[in-house]
Amino acid sequence: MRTRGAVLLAHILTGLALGYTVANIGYGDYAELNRMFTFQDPRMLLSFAGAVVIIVVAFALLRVRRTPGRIHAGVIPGAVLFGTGWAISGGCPAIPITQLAGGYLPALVTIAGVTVGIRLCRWANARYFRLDRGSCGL
Amino acid sequence: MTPTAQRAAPKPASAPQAAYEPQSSEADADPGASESPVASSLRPAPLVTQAALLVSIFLGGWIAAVTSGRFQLRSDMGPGFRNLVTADPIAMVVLLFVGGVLVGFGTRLAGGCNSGHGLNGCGRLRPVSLVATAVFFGTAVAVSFLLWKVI
Repeated sequence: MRTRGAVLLAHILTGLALGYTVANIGYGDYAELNRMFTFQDPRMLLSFAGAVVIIVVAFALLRVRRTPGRIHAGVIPGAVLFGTGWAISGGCPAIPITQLAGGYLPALVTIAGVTVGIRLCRWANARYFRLDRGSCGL
Repeated sequence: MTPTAQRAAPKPASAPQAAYEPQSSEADADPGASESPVASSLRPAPLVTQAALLVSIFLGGWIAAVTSGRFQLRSDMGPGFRNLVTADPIAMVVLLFVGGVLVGFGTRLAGGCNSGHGLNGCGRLRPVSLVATAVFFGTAVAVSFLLWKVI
């Protein structure tokens, strides 16, 4: 990606694809989500696993750089918090956005919570943890 | 490989190719933020671009809802939520908010969400992502069973 226009276009196309597929697969539907997590219905789990497999292959073919990343102290607690939040209200911040797009107004509350949570973490990290949290990907 | 010596200040970066970190746009809304890039050759995408990502996700979801006939303005979260979690609107709002806070805080703390670590990180087979994904899937499973069987 060399030009800002290309980056912008990539963002837009990816966002559209993500929103469309996530909504249609059912990650926004709470009942489906619970069925996935309680292993009653493997469909969504398979779609997630399938996506990972596709990405592994694609990244290998495209020779995307492997970035090391460290398993730092925040990873496990953070993942625990995230998993709990996911089971309660839906997960990856893209989900409440798609829920909102489907007309579920309470998703606004979730998004508000996510924003607060992010701010909270940045504040907490600056004051207490000072962790090198890395980033997702790259 | 990006040499570790070239890693800029250790702050979570806003990844440009970020289908997996939409929350980074909210992070960059703070004018005092100094999100330094991790990889030396990449800079955080401009705010407009990240906002465009969020808007596009919304549009994609909206198109999906409309084309499948599922679009319906409602002020609850569907029968699943009502059955499994709570039917009380006030409790629902509280729980959604708390859940959102957990998601936001946890994502930042762990360095990625289910898309960031789960898709992108595992796609690159990074150990930290595999660990993170396993932990949050496991936790979500545990909490979901709790909701399903106990509460």
